[in-house]
Amino acid sequence: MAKKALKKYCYDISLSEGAGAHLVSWVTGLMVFFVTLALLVNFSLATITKTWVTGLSGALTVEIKPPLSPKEGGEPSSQSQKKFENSVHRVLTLLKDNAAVSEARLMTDAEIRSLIQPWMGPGVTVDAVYLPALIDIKLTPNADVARLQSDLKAVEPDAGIDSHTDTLDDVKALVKTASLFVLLLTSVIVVLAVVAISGIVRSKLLIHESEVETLHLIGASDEYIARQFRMHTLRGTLKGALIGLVCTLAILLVIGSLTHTLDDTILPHLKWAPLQWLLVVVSPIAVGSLIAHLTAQATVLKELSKLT
Amino acid sequence: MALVKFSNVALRYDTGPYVLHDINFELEAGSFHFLTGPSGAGKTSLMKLLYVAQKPTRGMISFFGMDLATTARKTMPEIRRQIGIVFQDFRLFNHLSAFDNVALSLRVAGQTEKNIKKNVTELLKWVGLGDKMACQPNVLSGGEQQRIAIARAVINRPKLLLADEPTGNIDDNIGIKLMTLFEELHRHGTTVVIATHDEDIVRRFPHPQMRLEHGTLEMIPKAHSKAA
Repeated sequence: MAKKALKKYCYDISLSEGAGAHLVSWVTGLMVFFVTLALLVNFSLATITKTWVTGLSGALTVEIKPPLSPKEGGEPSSQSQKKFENSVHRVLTLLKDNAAVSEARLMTDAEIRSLIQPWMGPGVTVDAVYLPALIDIKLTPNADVARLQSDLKAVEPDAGIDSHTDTLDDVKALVKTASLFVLLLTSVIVVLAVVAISGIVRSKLLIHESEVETLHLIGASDEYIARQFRMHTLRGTLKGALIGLVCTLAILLVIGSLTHTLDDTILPHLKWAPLQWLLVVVSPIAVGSLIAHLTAQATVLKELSKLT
Repeated sequence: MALVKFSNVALRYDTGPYVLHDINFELEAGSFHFLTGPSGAGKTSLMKLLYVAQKPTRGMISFFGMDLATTARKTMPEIRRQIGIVFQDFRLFNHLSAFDNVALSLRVAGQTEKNIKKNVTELLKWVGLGDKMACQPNVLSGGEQQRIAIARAVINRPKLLLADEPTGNIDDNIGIKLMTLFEELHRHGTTVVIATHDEDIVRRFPHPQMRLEHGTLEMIPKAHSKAA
């Protein structure tokens, strides 16, 4: 039945024959491939940013300077060592009972050394370096960070407090720029596809000029003729869009298998909601088909309006 | 009321010379005319105006009481559906069967598939192609192709039937049969205009002539035509 209906609407003009019969499929396939890829990149960026921001925004690091800086040389005096230990104790006591803090942990020397070692370069030992005390704080939701910082400064004026705001702002700015770039690229791809499909439809009108003119002269309305081009373009579009989507998903699979061994902190594993998957699968095909459909319709009607 | 009326019609292509000038005539319903004249006289141009493929440079043309100049574009298909055309080169769709070629005229008019099947089958049998409905035109003879073209032109029961050199590419016997077919359609009330340079056909079938010479039309009544 469907085949019969398609036959009725698709085959008056021999659009499936002649040069460039499958160009629409190629153009739409490429468009859907790139648009899906862009959509995937955008979703990935959003997921990665969310993971990073969540990881950083709920944390503070307090640094209490060592009793003697390496510049000063020599061994720290027992007095300055005692002062250092008291400072650490005061800060930990403050944090223990603070409503803004869900967890405060004094990092071990070994952990601090492992953080410093990559910056020292090979061959340099960090054993001789006097280490600061680093307290890793996890904040409670809706914590009053400003008040906590001022409380910390009150008990230990020399303590360094890193709320990671600069890093977060940089990450957000970078991701925003990348998202805008992807959006711009997607718009360019869509515009190019519209221009290409319009050109293909125009050349098809020229190739099948005699058939179009005959239909016109035997009383076919512009809409009847345009429908033939629209249906043909839609079929080509769906075919191309499906191929483009399969190619994108295949690439995603390859990238996924290559990056699954990476550390979660560098590239968080992407877990998308079903709605996001639906958007990735359906929207490029739907948008691609709609664009091709409307472009074909508008182009044919515009060209037919030039006939008597 | 005249079926077709041309008043002071002139035609030229772009900025070229006038190929038709001061064309005035009326075609009454149920009439039969030959459009004659030497090559280059403007027969094809006049036919294009008659099947509304071309707008006149000046003058007024009306079909079925409607002035073309003031007719909305969306109404034009309805006018065209009342005009059956047999093109000189048939203009059949080679990727379609004989059945689908004839069915085209009904499909563009929005007829149901049930009606299409009934009417097309009946007409193809009437023109002697009942056993070749599934054949594509390119495997049929010139005469058979011509009958498909005629069937496509008349399936909609047009008020006006135009045929451009219908006997041009076929032998005399088939030409005579074809003319008999047109006469049959004429007897059923169809207005017929046949463009031809075949003097023999014009002599055999004594109908009024529209004679074109150097872009000017002369109406020659039946009594004064060469056949008379």
